[in-house]
Amino acid sequence: MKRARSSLKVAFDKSKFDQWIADLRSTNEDLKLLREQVAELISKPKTSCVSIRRSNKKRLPSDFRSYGITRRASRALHDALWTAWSTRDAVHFRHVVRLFLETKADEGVQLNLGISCLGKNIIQQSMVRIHVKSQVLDWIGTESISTTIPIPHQNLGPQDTRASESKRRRVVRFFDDAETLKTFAPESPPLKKPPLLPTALDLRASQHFCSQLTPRHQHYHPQDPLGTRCVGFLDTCSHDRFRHEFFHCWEGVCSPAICQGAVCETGALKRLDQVLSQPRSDELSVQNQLQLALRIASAVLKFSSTPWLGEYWGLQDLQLFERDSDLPTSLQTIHLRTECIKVSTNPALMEVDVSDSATSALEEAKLVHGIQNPTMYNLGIALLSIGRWKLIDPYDVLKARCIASQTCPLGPRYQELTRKVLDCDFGYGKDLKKPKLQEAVYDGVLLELEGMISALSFDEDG
Amino acid sequence: MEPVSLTLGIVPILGGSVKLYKSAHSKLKIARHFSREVDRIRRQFDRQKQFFLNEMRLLLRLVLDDESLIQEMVDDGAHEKWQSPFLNRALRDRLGDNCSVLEEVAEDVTKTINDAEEGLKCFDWLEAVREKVGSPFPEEAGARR
Repeated sequence: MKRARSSLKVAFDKSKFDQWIADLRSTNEDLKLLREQVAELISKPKTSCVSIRRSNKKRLPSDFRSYGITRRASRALHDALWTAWSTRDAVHFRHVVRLFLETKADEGVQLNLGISCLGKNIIQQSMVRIHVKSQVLDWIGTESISTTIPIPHQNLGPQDTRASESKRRRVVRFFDDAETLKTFAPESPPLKKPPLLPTALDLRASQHFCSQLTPRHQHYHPQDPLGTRCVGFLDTCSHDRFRHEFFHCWEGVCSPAICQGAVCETGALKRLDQVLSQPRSDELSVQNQLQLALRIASAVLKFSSTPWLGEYWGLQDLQLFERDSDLPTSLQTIHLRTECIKVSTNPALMEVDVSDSATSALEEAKLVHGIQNPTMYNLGIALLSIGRWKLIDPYDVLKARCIASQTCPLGPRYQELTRKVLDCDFGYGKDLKKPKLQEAVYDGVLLELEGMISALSFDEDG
Repeated sequence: MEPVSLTLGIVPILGGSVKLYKSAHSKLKIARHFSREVDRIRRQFDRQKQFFLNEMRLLLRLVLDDESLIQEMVDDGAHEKWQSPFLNRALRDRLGDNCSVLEEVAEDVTKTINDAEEGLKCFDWLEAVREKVGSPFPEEAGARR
């Protein structure tokens, strides 16, 4: 063999290898520089608040950025609905509103609702599914949003021209029949000059607008694309000004899970705490469980500090429509249920439907057990219950903490994130209204859950 | 030609580079006894390989906390996590504008090592001999200098 080596001539060009190694050295140097710079760029600069906010914004996925506007829009929608139902004609009815957890935010915010209007003598009335597009209404916004086509030959002042060029006004694209156009509530902000053609019905103009929501009251044309006709709008004119446009929900137009026919059947309703108190069915995969946890955690970020989700919320506030005992599909119809029974002069009193004793028990527990943030604590209880698939009593804080410290069937990552949520332990204080904490929760809970889900789907693929 | 990155994503390309470094390393390991010159090249190459793997570890730390997972990934370019869409998205989010530069660097690595592997084909017969009769070099067979 030794001889073989000496007698063999191998076409081996060492200069080429030297060049390749030099190339590799230079790519390694580039790599090092790039990695060092990136690490330096993403570490939070301590000098200015503005730059901190920017650098964080950049690395957070865009859906997080939509949470703030979703929160504002949902709060404004609640205000608008409750105000509209406080009129003399509407006050005799009970209104149950179901806000589906799935939302969209691109051009404005899309919120999906189920509204049931229950009269004194009516025991059951089917729910109307509505999707609402909510858009910020700035001071020039009223005219610009309510209209889409400028009337020809009008003279626009410089301000109106600006309004017509405003990006927002392009969002609304539908028109109603001419006869439904004119109604504007007397208290709606006055329109400037005659400039633009009003197009949608202001629902405040109808005495009890629920009658407008039922499809039979609309003049439907079969050729119209379903779900694209606006039923009307409500404005919120409090501190945060929004216009909420109501559209009927139709299968194939909105979200498939929410819009399917069965979602109307109030008989199929189940509370999430009831679902969790039953043994976990085999059809429910670990992925389904994680998705449920993710859906609820994201809802907490989206709707916390709005009337839809009180501080002392619980699994019983979440309901779903049970469909053909297909739990994974049913879980997609999960929603928050709120009820508007009677008018109070103080709207804050209606917001949280929780008994005084429960509140004081939790207030006490907060002090005794050092609960940092009840909203997050309750999310922790929800995550704990989902992880174990059994109901955990939120009032037994000690037991809940004990369970949280035990091995979780969904793995150590889930266990750790549940513990963090229970203790609101994200290193950014306890006030969920603070963007820093919201970001930390998004990063540490939502992205973490998402990561676990995608890791599982990868395992399944491979 | 369409860059590889358009079809794969940054994390799978990096995983591919790890794999390539490792395979070139094992080829050089076999060929190093052929001549001192080859051994010199092998040593230089191994240094670059180690630098690259270190860089990969540090880069993965930007998006992963689990040090043992990072180690597993760096040890194995075929590790399933190199294909994870979530990791890919996370790294993209972290890198921002720098992602395309990193992709280009990784593509340069791929190309250079592919060329080097081509250049090492002249030693392929060694591997064949090795498989048949064991190492052709006495010093590799045990009698190390």
